[in-house]
Amino acid sequence: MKQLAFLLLSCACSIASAADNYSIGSDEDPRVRASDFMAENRRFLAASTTLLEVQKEAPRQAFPPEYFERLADDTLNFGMQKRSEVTYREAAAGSHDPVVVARARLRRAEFLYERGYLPEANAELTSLRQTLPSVLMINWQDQMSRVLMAQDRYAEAVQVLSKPDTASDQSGYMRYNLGIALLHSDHVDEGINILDRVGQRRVIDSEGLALRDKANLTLGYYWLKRQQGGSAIPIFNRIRQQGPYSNRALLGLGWAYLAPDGDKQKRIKLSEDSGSDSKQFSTIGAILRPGFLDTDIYKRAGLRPFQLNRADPSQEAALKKALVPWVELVSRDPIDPAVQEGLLAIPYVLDKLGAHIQAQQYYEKAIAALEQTRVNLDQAILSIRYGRMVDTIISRNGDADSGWTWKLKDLPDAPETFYLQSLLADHPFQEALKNFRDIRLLIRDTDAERQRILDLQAAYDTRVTQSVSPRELQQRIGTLSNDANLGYQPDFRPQLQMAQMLVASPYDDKAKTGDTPAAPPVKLRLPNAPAKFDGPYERLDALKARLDALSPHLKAAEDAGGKLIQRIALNDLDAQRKLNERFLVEARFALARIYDRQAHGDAP
Amino acid sequence: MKLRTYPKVTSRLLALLLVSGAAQAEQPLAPAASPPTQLDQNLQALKEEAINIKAELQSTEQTLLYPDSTRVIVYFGVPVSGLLVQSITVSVDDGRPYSYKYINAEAIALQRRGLQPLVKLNASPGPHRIKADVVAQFADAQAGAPPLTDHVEGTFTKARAPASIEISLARRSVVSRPALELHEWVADK
Repeated sequence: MKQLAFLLLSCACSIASAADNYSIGSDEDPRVRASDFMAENRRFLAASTTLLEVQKEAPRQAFPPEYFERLADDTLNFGMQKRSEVTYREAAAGSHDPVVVARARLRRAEFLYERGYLPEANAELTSLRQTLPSVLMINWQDQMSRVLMAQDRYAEAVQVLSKPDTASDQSGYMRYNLGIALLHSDHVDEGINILDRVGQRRVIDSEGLALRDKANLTLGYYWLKRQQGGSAIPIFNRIRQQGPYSNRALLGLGWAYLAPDGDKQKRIKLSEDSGSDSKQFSTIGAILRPGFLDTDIYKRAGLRPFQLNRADPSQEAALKKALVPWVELVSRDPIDPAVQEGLLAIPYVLDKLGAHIQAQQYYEKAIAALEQTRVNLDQAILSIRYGRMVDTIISRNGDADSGWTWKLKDLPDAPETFYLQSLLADHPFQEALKNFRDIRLLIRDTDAERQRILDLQAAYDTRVTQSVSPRELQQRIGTLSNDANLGYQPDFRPQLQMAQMLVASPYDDKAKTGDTPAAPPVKLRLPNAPAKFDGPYERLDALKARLDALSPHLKAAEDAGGKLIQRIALNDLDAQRKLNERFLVEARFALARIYDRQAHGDAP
Repeated sequence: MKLRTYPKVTSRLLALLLVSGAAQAEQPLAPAASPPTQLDQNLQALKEEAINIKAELQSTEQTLLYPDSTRVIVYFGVPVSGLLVQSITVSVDDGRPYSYKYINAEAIALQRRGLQPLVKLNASPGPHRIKADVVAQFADAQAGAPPLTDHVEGTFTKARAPASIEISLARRSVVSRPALELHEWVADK
C-alpha cells in the first residue's frame, strides 16, 4: 500500500530526475559547492573544514586543480598562509591555466604584504614576473609597487609602474602611488603633475572622490611646506567641504593665505589630458565666494566689532581670508587635531589684526577645549589598559569567521574607542585585530567541539549497549560482502572476519525467545588483531586529547594578541596626547604673552 | 618673486602646521606594514591543528550519527541573480519540517554561488518523499510587491551510498519564473 502511494505520488507530482554522478572533489560535488557558499558568506574556517573533510573521505582520490584552488583560497582567507602555499603548489602542479596560477600567487603575495612579510612578498612577485600572463600585468605592477614603497624603494617603484607603460589602464590609486614615488625619488616635477592630474580626475564614486581629495591635499601641503602659498591655494580649493580630508584642507588653506605666494609654477603638459568636474561637489573654494568675505566673517567668528591695529589693508585682507576656512574648521568635531590646531590659529590671526581681547578669549576657549581633549584621552588610555577596548571592538560581529578578509570599518561609539579613528587605516592594527578575532573564534570553536565529543561519546555508549541480533548482523554482512566499495575501506576487514564467524554460528536470536537453550558465550578472536583498536570512540578520545593540548596555546595567543592590540592603540593615543600637549603649551604661551603685554601696559 | 609682508608670522606657524596638518600627506595610499609578529606565525600553526581536529571530528561524527547507508543531505541553491531567498521549509516523509530563515548576507551569498547544506538526516534504503516550500523576493522588487513563493514535492530512492538531494530555486529558461526543482547527486565510485 505504501509502495502504491509512492508510485502514485511519483506519477502525480514533479519528481527528482534521475540521479547525476559527480566526481568527488569536482565542481559538481555538492560538498564542494557547499564550501563555495560558505566562502561567499565569508565563513572560511567552515569552508576549509568542509573541503578537508572531502579529502579525508577519499584520501587516494586524485582531486582536480580547482579543488586545491578552493582549498588554498579558503585557507589563505582564514589567515593560514603557510598551509595555502603548499596547497597552491598542488593546484599549480595540476592546473593548465597560467592565469589561475598567477592569480593565486598574487593573492598570496598580497597576504604576505599586508601581514608585513615584505621580503617574502617581494620574492614571490619577482619570481612570478618571469611567467606573468600579460592580462595580469596591471595587478602585478600595483602590488609590486606597493611592496617596494613599503620598503622605501621609491625609485624601483617608479620603474615598476612605468615599464611597461600601462598608464591608460592604471587605476587612480596606482597613479597616486606613482606620484608619491616620483616625489620621493628625483622626479619631483613629474610627481607633482601626476598628483595634479589625479586631483582633477572625473570621478563620482565616494572612493574616487576621496582619492582625488587625498591627491590635492598631498599636493597642497607639498607647496605649503615649500612656502608656495599661491600654488597651494587653488589646490586646497579643489577639495570637498565634507570628506575625510576636508578638515586638514581647511587648515592648510588658511595657512596658504598667510604664506608667501612663492614662484609661479610652470605646468608641464602631460600626455594624458583630464577634465575636472570638481564643481559638481561643494568644494572648499566655494566658501570664499565673492561678497562672503567682507560682510560677515568677524560676525561668523563670534567677534564683536574691534579696532584694527597695525594691519595694513593687504595684510588685513590676507588675515581675513585665512579666517574664513578656520572659522568653518573650528565649528567641527574637536577630536580632529586639525580642528584643535584651528582653535589656535584663529586667535593668532586675531592678535595680528589687533583684536587682542578677542584673541585672548579665543585662546581661553582653545585651552578649555584642549584640556577637555586631554581628559578624554587619559580616560581612553585608562580603559584600554583595563582591556575594555578590545572587547568593545571585537564584540561586534564577533561570531563571523571571516578571517583575513574581515576589516574593521568603523568603531563603536564608546569612550575607549573614540580616539582610535586614525587606526582604522593602519595595517598593523587591522591585522592584529584579525588575528585576535580568529583566536577568539578558535577558542569558542574548540570549546564547542569538546562538548560535542562528550555528547558523541555518551551517545556511543548508549548505542553499544543495544544488542544487534545475529540475524540482522548476518543481513548486514550479506550486504557488505557484495559491496564493491570494500576495497576502499580496509578498516572493515577485521569486522567482517569477526562477523563471518557469527554467520557460521548455529545460534541466532531464537535464543532470546527461549525456544532453544541459551547459547554459550561465543569466543571470538580476530586474526592479526591490531595492537591498538582505532574505532570512533577511540578517535574521539584522541581528538579530545588534542583539543586539551591546543587550548592552553590558544589562551596564550589570546593574551598576546590582546596585548599587541593594546600596545598599538596606546602608542597611537600617546602620539595624540603629545600633540595635544604641544598645542596646549603653544596656547598657554600665547596667552601669557598677551597677559604680559597687558601687565606692562604695552600696546597689545 | 612677490612675497606677502609677514614671513615671520608664517615661518613659526608653518612649523606648527607641519605637526598635524601635513602629517598624513605625501604618504602612499597603502601604508607601510610593520614587521610580522611572532604571534602571527604561532597562530598559523594553531589554526593548522584546529582545522585538522575540526575536520576529523566532523568526519567521525558523521560516521557515528549518519552512516553512509542511511545518510541523506539536502542542499539548497538559488542560481538566479538578484533573487534573495527569505525562508525555506523542507520535510522528508512527512516528518518534522525543517525551516530556515535567511539573513540578507546569506541570501546574497546564496544567489552568487554554491549550495547551502540544509538538512542532514538518516533514512532507510528505499523510496522517500520530500517536500519544500520557499519564499523569496527580487532585490529590485517594488515596495509592497508580493514575494515569490513556490512548492515542490518529489521522491528519491535511498540506496546504500549516501544521498545528496539538491533543491534549487531556478529558472528553466531565461524568461521563465523561478521555480523549485529537485535533483539527486551520487558520487562516482
